[in-house]
Amino acid sequence: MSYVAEGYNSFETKKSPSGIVRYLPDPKSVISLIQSGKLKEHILLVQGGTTTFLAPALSMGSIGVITMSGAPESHLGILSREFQMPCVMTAYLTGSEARYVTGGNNDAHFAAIIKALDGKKVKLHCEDRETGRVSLLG
Amino acid sequence: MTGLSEQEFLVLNGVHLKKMATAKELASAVGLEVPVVEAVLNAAAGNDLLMVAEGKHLLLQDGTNAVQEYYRTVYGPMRSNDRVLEWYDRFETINEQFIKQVSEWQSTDGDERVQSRMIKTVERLTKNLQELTPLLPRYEIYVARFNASVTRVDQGDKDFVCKPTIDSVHNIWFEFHEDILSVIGRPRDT
Repeated sequence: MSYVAEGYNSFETKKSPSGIVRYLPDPKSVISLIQSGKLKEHILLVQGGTTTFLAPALSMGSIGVITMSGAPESHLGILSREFQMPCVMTAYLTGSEARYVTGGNNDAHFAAIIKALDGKKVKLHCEDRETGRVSLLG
Repeated sequence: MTGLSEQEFLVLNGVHLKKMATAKELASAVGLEVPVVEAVLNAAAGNDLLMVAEGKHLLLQDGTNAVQEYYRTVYGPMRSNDRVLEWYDRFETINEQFIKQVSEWQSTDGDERVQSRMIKTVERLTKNLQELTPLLPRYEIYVARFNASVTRVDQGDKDFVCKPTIDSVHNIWFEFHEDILSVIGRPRDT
């Protein structure tokens, strides 16, 4: 199987959720998704590992998350393990050399990931101890 | 002038920090009676400051704006107070330790030694918090909440370490961190 993206795995799990990727840039987008009643149809893509505004989506039963920065040792990592919700963190595109740089300007890196994943149907693979992976479906 | 009264701020800030909560959870977290909290929440819902989903309250953008405006207006002087800013710098170090310890606690299935180190970190924070309470009296409630949850952990109820749906130590820490960042006007990683 080929993977479009990979990153740190928040925790090992045989759960392998699939859904349409939805990029959530701000609290408003999280509330809008919850109000739509379609939260569980989506894999959530967010920028940071301490994305506090994501908390309502986690409480409402989101099925999986991809972050573009942040480590498993973060608030979001801790919550994903407690909710047993697969979470691929600091994801990067496997077909690109670009990687997240702490303290650097990551705008182009983030934009490329959003362009490659937002709106696509994907599956998360989190059975490996260290690495979480994302494959495209359909 | 901010648009919120102190009581309205306490309740809506509780929603802001918890992200999603019932009136009862909020009353317990902010130290007000449930009917008082319900009255504020109902009025806020009527003014489109918040929404209700499955009995839990979430701030809408106007509600978040009102809470942030209160922080700016009332806590503005704290943002240039060296004592507060130095306190926060020390907190950052403790915060990193705490997050690592909770993660390690999870990965070791609640190892007692890791738990003991984590509880010591929480006790360090509650001790340090007493330096801030003369300036921020409402922070007393964090000390009380931490103490109550640590007591439950000490009694063997491990859910009170970091279960997201109760007043666990990690939840309280998460809320406190968001609160102090708002007081000093620093953004959090998005």
